[in-house]
Amino acid sequence: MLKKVLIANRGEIALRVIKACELTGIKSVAVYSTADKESLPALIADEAYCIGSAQAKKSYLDIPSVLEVARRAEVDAIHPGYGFLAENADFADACVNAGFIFIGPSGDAIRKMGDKAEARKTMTNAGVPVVPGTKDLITSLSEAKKVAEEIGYPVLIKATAGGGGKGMRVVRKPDDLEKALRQASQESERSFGNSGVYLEKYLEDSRHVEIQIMADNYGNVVYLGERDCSTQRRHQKLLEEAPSPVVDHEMRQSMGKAAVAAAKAVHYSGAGTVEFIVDAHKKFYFMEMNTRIQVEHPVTEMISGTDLVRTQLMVASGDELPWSQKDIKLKGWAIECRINAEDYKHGFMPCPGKVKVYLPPQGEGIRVDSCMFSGYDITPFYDSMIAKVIVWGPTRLEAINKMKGALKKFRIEGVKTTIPLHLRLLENPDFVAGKVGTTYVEKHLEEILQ
Amino acid sequence: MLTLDEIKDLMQSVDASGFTTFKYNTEDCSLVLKKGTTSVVTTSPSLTIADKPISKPATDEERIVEITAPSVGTFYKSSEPGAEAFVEVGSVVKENTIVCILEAMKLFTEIEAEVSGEIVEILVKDGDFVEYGQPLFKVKTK
Amino acid sequence: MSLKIMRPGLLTTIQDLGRYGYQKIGVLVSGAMDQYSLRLANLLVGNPERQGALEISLTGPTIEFTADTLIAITGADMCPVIDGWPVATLRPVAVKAGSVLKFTGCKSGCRAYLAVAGGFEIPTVMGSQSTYLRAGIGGLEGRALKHGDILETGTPNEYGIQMSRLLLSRGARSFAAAHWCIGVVHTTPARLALPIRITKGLQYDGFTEKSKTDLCTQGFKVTTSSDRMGYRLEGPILKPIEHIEMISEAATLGTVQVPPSGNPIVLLADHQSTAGYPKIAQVSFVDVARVAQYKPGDTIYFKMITNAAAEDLYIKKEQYMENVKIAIAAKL
Repeated sequence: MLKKVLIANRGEIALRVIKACELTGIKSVAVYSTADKESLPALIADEAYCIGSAQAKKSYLDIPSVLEVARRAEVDAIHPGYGFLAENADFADACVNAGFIFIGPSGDAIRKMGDKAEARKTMTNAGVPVVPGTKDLITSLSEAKKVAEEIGYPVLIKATAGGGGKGMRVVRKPDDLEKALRQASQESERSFGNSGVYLEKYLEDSRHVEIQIMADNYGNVVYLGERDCSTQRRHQKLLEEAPSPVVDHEMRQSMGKAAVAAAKAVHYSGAGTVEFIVDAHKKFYFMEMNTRIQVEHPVTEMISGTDLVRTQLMVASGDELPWSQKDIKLKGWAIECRINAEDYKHGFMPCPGKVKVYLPPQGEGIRVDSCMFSGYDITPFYDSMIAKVIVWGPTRLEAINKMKGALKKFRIEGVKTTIPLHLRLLENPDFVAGKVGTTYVEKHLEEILQ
Repeated sequence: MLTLDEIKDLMQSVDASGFTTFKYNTEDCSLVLKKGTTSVVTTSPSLTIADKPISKPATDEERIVEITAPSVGTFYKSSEPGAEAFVEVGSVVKENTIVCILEAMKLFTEIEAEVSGEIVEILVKDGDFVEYGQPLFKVKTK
Repeated sequence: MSLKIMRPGLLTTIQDLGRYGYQKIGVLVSGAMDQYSLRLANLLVGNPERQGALEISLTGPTIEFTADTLIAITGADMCPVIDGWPVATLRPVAVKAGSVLKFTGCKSGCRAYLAVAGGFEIPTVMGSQSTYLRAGIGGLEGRALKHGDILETGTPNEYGIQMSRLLLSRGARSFAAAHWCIGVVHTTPARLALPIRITKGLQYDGFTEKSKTDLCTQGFKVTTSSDRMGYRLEGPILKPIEHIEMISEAATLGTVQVPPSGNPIVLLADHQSTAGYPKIAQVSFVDVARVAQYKPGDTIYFKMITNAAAEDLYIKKEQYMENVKIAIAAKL
């Protein structure tokens, strides 16, 4: 078993990993920027080191600084959390080169799945259905036009190095294709330093359903059910639930098997999520694979009775997976709401500031993952997430009711939060009926807020 | 309380974003940044910017400032093992005098004093690991 | 953008990591004698590691830069100066247009490498820019640089442009060197005193016990008959137990072969593809670069290690190179 782990992250996920380390008897080492000096991870880790100034580039993204601390603290392994360096293949390689275990897949696997066009090819070869589109990066306008005609408009131009919605354009008419290609390419070059784009059929009002997988270093891969993350705004998830209202047992098995095949195709190790897009006819297509632990992992933990972060530590230690596929039993329904310090009435502007009062809800089946406390100063340098509220109920309706109750009891004073928006969402009849697709919130935002 | 470094980082973040006005209020300070203008307005009489903590002033004209580590790394007092140290107690330094080397991931960075004055104390030993912001030298300056 | 060669130095050629795929038809690999220094010089200016750069031997050239150029000098310490000011090595240096670079003397080591952001605009021959002097191929017209040569440089990549801008932003007379560098080089006198690590050659067991012992205890002097093809060493005579009848077999970089005279030869970058002399040892790959830093008159000592140890050293060195690349990128 690992003896000491450095967490190359901050906020609630850093805290989450520290807690998993505590449970497993592993010593934790935190790194923090000057802005996070008084944060919980810095205060409760066994050791903590200041690695830079507030800007992520100068602290959490500074690979040499992180590795120097790892060297000094003599850690065995480094956990990258999510975001920051979690999917940086160079960082994964650098950790290994420097003699540390990287708690995640190899740099190679990250690279293969990080290049979206490459990932599509790998999946096609592994027999996993992908969204109809170009086989490779687009090299000419005539090629793009031909494929677009074949698969049918509307089409979606996506950046191969992309993420977070950048470098994407929806094209509904052939005339718009040329301009959209140019724009997407340029935006991608600016944001990611890579102008490569490819084309996919645009599945309108689809659902985003992802499968959690866990692999060990011996080729064993298991899927732990799905999560439905269709409740989004501008490609940012607001709410996630497990299981998905549109997935039945058979579909779960097919998607699960496809996800396992995807992981095996790249010799995956650790926690991963295979994202699928599900169309109106319940057909699913591979969208991308996230080679890290995800923000919404708690809902899977709640319905499967597992501790995914702890399992990551065990797998990284060289243990075999603690369960086989038949050991995974899913029970009940879990929902997670991401509470952000944002003004949802005015374009979701981030509202950093001092959290004067922080009183999270408590109770059976209620879990709050957060690093907040009363008197905490939310700085403007990082994302605006305050807390994740997760509930479990035996049925979806009971989970919804429990979440409403929990959010109503959640007292946060001093900053604006998105709690009221979530409460409205939970009462929205379409949401309750399980009918919300990925574009729903954007389209119906005004209605929802009435 | 924001340090000068944090204000600089904030300015860079706002500059790179799509926002034109940025307001930040806490109990102790209030900061407004407007893009496209040359003014930065702060409205708090008690706002002080401390980037180099000052310990005790020696006299009215002199004070002690600290040279702090601008990054994480291993501290070396000379350019090579066995070579003469860059500075000793009593050495006079200018802003661009090299005072030590910090090593991280096998790259060695020469650290400049960024203040002028006389070294009165060396706070770390050769080979010590230092964190970002850790005080390395005390300099008596005017 | 170009470099004007005012004085060529003793032997300055363009080398990259070599010409591979043609030894079977008798075309040698060539390439940098000290591959690690070449790779590091390239990394410091943001070039791909295998980009062509200048290999400078013993006496350096005098070069005028016609445009602002980002360079890096690694390998031997040849005391480079620009307009009278010493230029720090092992780091990126932004040189301003019109500056003249000179090397004032070789303090330690034998070969220095000068890489330019964007590399040189010279044609590749059989996939490589390396110069093989004997056949007159590669590099600049297949020869060493001479007075009056103009070397066109390529376009620097994003890193090269940004690093140059960053360095010059602090104000510069004729050049601005970074305030950081790669540490620990194998060309310092202290490091050159360490033994060269070798593994057993294919015909090792055919040599006398005395030869085997002498090999790893006695010093071998680098004679003046040493060049890019190989270093001819002088020391205790190495003798096979009985005459070994050899059919020529493949020779590789770092092979230590023993001709009838008993004075070993270490095969280096321009070595022939086959050899007929018994091979007593093989210099481990990581130490071939160190051999290249000895000058005629220097004494080399050898130390025997296992194949597994040599492989381990190689892997660790590659890991170091990968990490240095990431650390250099983080300096922007």
